[in-house]
This record gives sequence, structure tokens and C-alpha cells, in this order.
Amino acid sequence: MSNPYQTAAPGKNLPGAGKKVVVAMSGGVDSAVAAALLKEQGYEVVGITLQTTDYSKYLKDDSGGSCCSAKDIEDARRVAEKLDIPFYVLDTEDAFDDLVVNYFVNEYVQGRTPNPCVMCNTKVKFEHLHKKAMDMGADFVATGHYAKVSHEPGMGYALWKGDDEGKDQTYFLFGLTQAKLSRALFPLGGFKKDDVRKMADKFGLTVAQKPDSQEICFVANNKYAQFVEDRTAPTQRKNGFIVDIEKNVLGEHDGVFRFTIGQRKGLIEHFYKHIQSSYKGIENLRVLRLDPMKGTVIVGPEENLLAWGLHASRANWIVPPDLRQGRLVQAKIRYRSESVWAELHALPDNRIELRFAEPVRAVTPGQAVVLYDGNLCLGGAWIEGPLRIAPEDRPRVRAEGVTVLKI
Amino acid sequence: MITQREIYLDCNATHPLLPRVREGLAEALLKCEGALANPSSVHRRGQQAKKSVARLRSALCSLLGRGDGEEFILLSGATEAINLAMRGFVEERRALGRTLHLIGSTVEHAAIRDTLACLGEREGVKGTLIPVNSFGQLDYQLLLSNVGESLKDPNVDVLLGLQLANNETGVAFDMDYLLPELSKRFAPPAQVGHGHKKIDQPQRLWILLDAAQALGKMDDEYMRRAMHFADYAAFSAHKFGGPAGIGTLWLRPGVPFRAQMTGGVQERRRRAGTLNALGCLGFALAAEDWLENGEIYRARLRSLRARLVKGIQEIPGVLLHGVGPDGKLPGLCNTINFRVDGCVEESLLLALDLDGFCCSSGSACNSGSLRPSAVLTAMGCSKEQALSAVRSCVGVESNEEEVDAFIASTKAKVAQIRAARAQAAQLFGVGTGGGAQGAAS
Repeated sequence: MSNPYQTAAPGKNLPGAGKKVVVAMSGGVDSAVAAALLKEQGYEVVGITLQTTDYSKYLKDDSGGSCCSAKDIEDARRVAEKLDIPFYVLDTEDAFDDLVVNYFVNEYVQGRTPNPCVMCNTKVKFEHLHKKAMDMGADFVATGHYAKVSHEPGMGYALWKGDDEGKDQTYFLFGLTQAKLSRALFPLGGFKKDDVRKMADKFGLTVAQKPDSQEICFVANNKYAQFVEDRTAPTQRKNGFIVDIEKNVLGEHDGVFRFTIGQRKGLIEHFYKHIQSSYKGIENLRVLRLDPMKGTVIVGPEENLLAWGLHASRANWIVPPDLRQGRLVQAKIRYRSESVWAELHALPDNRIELRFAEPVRAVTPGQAVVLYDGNLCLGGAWIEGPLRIAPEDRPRVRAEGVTVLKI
Repeated sequence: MITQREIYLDCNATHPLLPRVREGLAEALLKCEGALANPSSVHRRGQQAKKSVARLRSALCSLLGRGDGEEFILLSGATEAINLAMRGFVEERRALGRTLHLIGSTVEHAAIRDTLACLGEREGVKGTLIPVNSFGQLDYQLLLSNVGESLKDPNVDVLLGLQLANNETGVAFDMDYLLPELSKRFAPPAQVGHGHKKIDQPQRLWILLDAAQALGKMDDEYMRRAMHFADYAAFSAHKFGGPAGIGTLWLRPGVPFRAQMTGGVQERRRRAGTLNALGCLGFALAAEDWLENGEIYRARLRSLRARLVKGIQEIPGVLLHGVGPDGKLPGLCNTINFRVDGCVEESLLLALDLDGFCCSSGSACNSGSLRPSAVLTAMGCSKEQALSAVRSCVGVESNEEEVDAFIASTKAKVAQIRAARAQAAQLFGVGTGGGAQGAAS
């Protein structure tokens, strides 16, 4: 069967001629188009879907809401059939459990808010799958991320933001190393999401109009608290008090893992009834801090969520920056937040300190802070917690008109 | 790199249609003749269709040394045959108020294992799977004592379901020892012939043979000797070069049985549903071919397998599953199953597939991902070891060039994987490696 997109016959002058690439296909439109583009560029493309959950379990008792993920595998298979590329489903349940799910649960239990997508990319897609791809003789691993990779003389492999600013996904890729990037391809980096959907249509892929995935893929209906509860022993789920910043006890809760920094929703229902009416500003209280050792949830007004700095650990530098002086970088403390200017200070043991040019809201332990120089992703680290910075130590910069030190 | 060639070495999954079957079926299709009609129809075309069915019954009788073609219930395949036998047996004996015990081995095909589990779950029937050793051989004494223990209770009936040859490893149990031994120990003493029981000496042990893989590939005489002691036997056409979707359950006359499918009088009310006449024709052609050429075919399969074994054994770190300490190869003459040190999980299988070789390993789950083989784990393999196994089974039309190409490719792919793993260890470090990652503890 001939496909309309196969207009260019594979030739020696195509960039991918003679190269083999494994594409991680999720069943979504992005990875489907990534595979199609690579095939068009002359690569020998092998599609792989990582099966991270044993869907037969759900099929048996017929209760699981995750069947859409089994459907995702079928969507990926259909795309591979359409593109006429070899396609395999790999049972990755054990590795995924080990590297992502356990991490996810442990972080919540310890009062942090995990970022499983970062972990999945770093450990599963670009390590576990990467090894499998190498076993198969592949030269590259590709994904449908909106990001770019290039080789820069004197710098090594560099990770750049994707051209679609609203979709840039380098945040999830900050854990990649030079070795991993040297064999990574991101064919969508130069496209906007709308164009990708149009291309999917042009390639005749059935997933062209499939909605973007929003939730954590392994937690059904986003009920993450239930998920954590199902996977922990009662002794791990520390219950305790909800207190305000003056240490007044407002209520009780049955597990710090149910809370995240900045949260307001669902807080009131844990408060003692007699407090509810008398406490000032109770409706506007937010989670400020979690103390997993004592099992305490500390709440307070919105303004107490603001911080001028943070500490982060386990830093990964894609491009090792000059760490001698407090150089200026743009920092992103969660995927869906604007980046802010910050002074970067290196600390011993691969830890960093950031001092923000403007206060940021809800610095959340467990999330990643990813650092940029313009469109260049320098790397990132895992947030330990917010930091008080005396006014005289705050960087005197504004977002506009700053000359960033070149590496 | 991704080759266009396709070399098929997965003949235990489905054996390609034998040339004679291919031609016969193509002719029947093109001529749109009798084999495409309903054998129950009274008109001439229906009668032609019926001829295909009769032809099959007669071929099966000759191949398996039975006299009456009506002993064969034609159905969709061995899985249905096994379900029908087990469920039919349980329903019939239960109605008589008997207590039942189903016994199999841990390396049975899922048709037996899952049906046994299902009958346990739904009907509360006791089921036991007898373990095998690391070479896939049954613990005969344990089996015999299990059967003996059960039969001590006069209210208990036992159905023993065993495969003649294993689809994954090719290991064949020693039925020439086991079946006569069972008969000697547990058959009613005053028995005249196995089929003619006295009423005062009721039979308490029944034997179901899963002969799906054995048909054709095991010697005819061996099959007939096994059939002599059996009460039920299950067969599939597509395992020996017939079409998929047709098979048969052989019943010794008089054994406990209840139909599980209603909706027609076909197969003497034992299995409702229009007979697959085209399938019957294909099955018949295959059976006739094996009857005529079985000796030659088996000799050919044996010689190809010997070549395969010799080549694969040259790979350092290779381990053949199902080969005992005496070095004797598995009884199913076309099968080898091996794993290679350093080739983790399904790497070798996928690399071979990309190089054009169709082999298999374990079983696929719903989504199409591979699961570790239950057979190999029952033989003591770890999950990882089982997942890394490659089963290669030749067919009647396989040839030396294909076998040699497979050996060469396997050697090359093993080297590729070992090199890749060494490189990965350098790139990512040993263990999980990496920079900023890792769950904080």
C-alpha cells in the first residue's frame, strides 16, 4: 500500500539515511508525528510502546478506569501499521514500578510533591528504553517532546526549548546527560502543536485530533491520594494536626501525602467545626509547609507562600555552567509557571541555592527547578525547600534589560 | 538493517500450510465447490461438503489407528477440544454425585491449566498441577502417588490431563512408561479391553491427552500407543500444516461427556454449530500428507534441528532449555528453546525479528507485550531468564540455508547486544546511573 506522505523515496541524501531510530510511541499525536517525520527523513524507524501497567488485571475484574491506556497501545500500533514500521510493545511494568511509581509514592509519604514525568524521561525512556534500543542496534532514541538537541562545538550536546513556547517540554528533560542527549532525537522541536496536528492529518494518522494527555498516566482519574494509600502500609501514612503559623491547632488529617504546597481545596473539611466560624480568614488558608516527621500540615495566608529563594539538590548540568559567581539564570520551579530571573550559587554536594529577582509563589519540595539561559536549558535540580533571603542579598535585576553572562 | 527477508521459524505457533494443503484449498476456493457449502445441507453441494468431512474422519482414523471416524468430534481446535473434554467430564460425573480431582502438570498449555483453574474457581473442583524438574521432565512418582492418594477415596474420580509434547520447549513426557504404569496401577482389574468395562468395576481414572503439538511431529506408532491408553485426545490442524480454526476431540466410546454447546444436531449433538467444511478439507489433506510422508518429514525436521542445535551451541554462554544432563534433545523433533547469557529480556528476539527471523518467546499478553513463559518459570527460570528465551522451531518446508542464516544472525545479534550492553554500562554507569535522578530516601 502506498502512503501519500512517502513522496520522497528514501535516498542517500536524506539526513537519516542508513540510521536506525527507536521512537517511543505513547499512542498520542506527538510521538506519532515524530515517527512519521523520521521515516520521511530516511531513518529506519522502529516504534516501541512501553507498557507500564498490566492492563490484563483491569480487563479481568472489569473495574479499571485505565483501559484508555490499553487503547493508547492500540492507537500506537495503528499508527505504526499506517507508517509501515516494525512495532513492539515492551512490558516495562517492573522498571516503571521501581523507578517511577515507588519514587512517586515515597515522595508523597515524605511530604514532597513528586514529578514522575521527569523521572520517567530520565530513567525509563532515556535509560531503560535507550538500552533496549541499543540492543536492537539503534543509533538513536526519539520522542515527541517539544525540545531541540544540537551539538555545539566546545560545548557538547545542548538542549534547547522547543519553538512552540506554550508547549516547550525541556522542563521534563533536564535530567538528561551528555551520553543520553548524544543519542536523542526530538523531531518536533521546530514545530508548533497546531502544525503537528495538521501534519498528523496529512500523514493520515487517526490520532490527529486526539486530546493531549493531562493527568499522570498511571493514576486513574487523577486520584493520586487513593493511589498512594493503596500502595503504602498504614504506618507509613503519618496522620497528624493541621496548624497555623502561630502553631494553633485547627484540625486533623489522616496523612501528609494528601497535601501539596499552595493547596486550598479540601482543606477546610479537615478543620474542627468550632474553629471554622471564629477563625479569621479561614477561607483563604493555604498549605504552606508539610512536616512529615511530626505529621504536621502548616497552613497560612497566601502571602506566606511567597519566597525569594530556594535550595535544591542532586543537580544535573547538561551544560556545566560557570558557577564561580552568582551568575544570572532563568529558573522554572514547576512545569506550568513562568520562569523568573535568579542568581545561581553553587553549594557543596551538588546542591544549589537560587536567589530570585522577584518573589515566587509556592516553592514546592520534590518538584524540579530547571534553569535556562535564554532558550538553552542548562540543567536543573530537585527542590528541597524555600529559602529566606534578606532584602540586601536579593539580586538587583529585573526581567528586562539584563545581560546574561555567556557560557 | 531492517530487512525485508522473512524466515519463519515459529512452526509450533502455526505450521505453514503444507504445499498439498495450500494447493487443495486454493483449488476448492477457486472452483467454489463443495467444501464451501454446509455439510448438513441435503442437496448435492451439501453432500460434496460432507465428503470433505468424511475424508477427514477417515484420514484421522488411519493416522491415529482408530476404526470409527465418529469418535472424532470436529471443532475449532485443541483449546476447544480440551475445554469440551474437561468441562464435559466434570458436568457428567458431578451429575452422578462423584467428587472430582483434575490433575495436570505445571507445564501444560494454558488450555489445560486455565480450564483447571476455572473449574476450581467456578465449580469448586479440586485441581493439582504436578511440578517438573529444571529439564521440564515430570516427576512421575509424585504424579502416580497423587493419583493413588485421590483414588483411595472411593467417591473420587480423577481426570488426568497431560500434553504429549510441550509447545515451548519440545519436551515430551515418557508416555511409554507413564501410561502403562497408570493402567497397571489404577485400571479396574477385571478389565477386558480398555473400551469394554464391566459395570461392577467402574473406571475411576480418565486420561486426556493434549496432542496438539505431537500430531505428525511424533512417530505415528508412539501416538497410537499413547492413544491406546487415553480416553480423550485433543488435536489442532494448524500445528502440522493444516489450516487454523479446525481441530478435533477424540473420545473413547463410553467416556463421560456432556455437550457444552447447544444450537444444532451437528456432530451427533456433541458440538453444535455448522461444520467448517473447508477447514475439514485442509485438515484431511494435511493428515493424508503426514500419513504418507510422515517418516520423511520427521527425518527432515530432526536433521534440521540437529543442525540448528550444533550452530547455536557454538555461541558462548548459550543454554538449551529442556535438554537433560544426558544431552538428549527434546522429544518434539523440530524444536529448540534457548537463552544466551547477557542477552537481557526480549532483546535477542526483537533483534532477530528486525533481521527477518520469526521466532517466539513465552506468550504475548493482551497488549502484545511479551510475558515470561509460564513453562520456563515452572522449570525454575527466573522471570528475566524466561523472558530472554528464544524458541526456534523448524517446519517441513524449512531448509538448511534458513537454519544457517538463523545461526549466523543469532551469533551476530548476540555480539551486537553484548557490545551494546557494554557501551550502555559506560554511557549510563552501572546500575541505574545518571545525574540528578533517583528518588530521595
